[in-house]
Amino acid sequence: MAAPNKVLPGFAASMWMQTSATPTPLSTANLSVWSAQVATIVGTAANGTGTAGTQLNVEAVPAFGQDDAVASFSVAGTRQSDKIPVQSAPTSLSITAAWNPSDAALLLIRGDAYSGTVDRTYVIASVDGASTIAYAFNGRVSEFKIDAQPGAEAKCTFTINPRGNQYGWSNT
Amino acid sequence: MEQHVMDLDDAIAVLQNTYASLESIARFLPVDAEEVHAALADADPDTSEAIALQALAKYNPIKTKQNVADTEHE
Repeated sequence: MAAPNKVLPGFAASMWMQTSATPTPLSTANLSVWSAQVATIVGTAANGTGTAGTQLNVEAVPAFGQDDAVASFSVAGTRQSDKIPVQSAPTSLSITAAWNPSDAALLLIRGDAYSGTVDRTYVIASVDGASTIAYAFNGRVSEFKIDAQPGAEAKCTFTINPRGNQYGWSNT
Repeated sequence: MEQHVMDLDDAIAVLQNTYASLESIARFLPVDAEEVHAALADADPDTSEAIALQALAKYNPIKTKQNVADTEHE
């Protein structure tokens, strides 16, 4: 189906993740397929089915995309000022969430961080009515921290590091 | 010299199941361009088969008589 032709500020973004302590992430091709693939991770609130996913309750959906990447070259000892664009690495997503020690999604995130080797599919869904644009990617979690200072509600922070090339766009 | 051509279903299966970059895999799969484009025209766009075929089609353009002639003169 064609993507909706609308200005993005009208969308509400939410973040979703596969459930299961030992998930099988979607293959690269399936990350671009909504029906029976990405839709199973996204819940009904964002027009998916949610049969294999749960919402990750984050304070704000972080910026996602690419980091800057250039290669600078020098020739035979002389400095050359060209900066040649090369393929950029996917940017890491630093996330803050209210720390609820009974939140199933946060417990999975915590487990992934302590493991360090769990690949999981995450989806950022932008929703406007019946239209959803989904950015799905596979990633690993690191740097899970809990900030329990008494002056504010307890928060946890963590970083999702997307795997290279494992992302896809799809829509309802 | 005749180039070995891979079975299209096998090529699609490779791309459907990989966790690597589709671009880097599709570039080196020897498939029949006309078969790829015909299959892509019939594929449901919201399937992994279509995603795989799109990657294959990118690196296997259909050669027209004009660009075949251009290649021969190079």
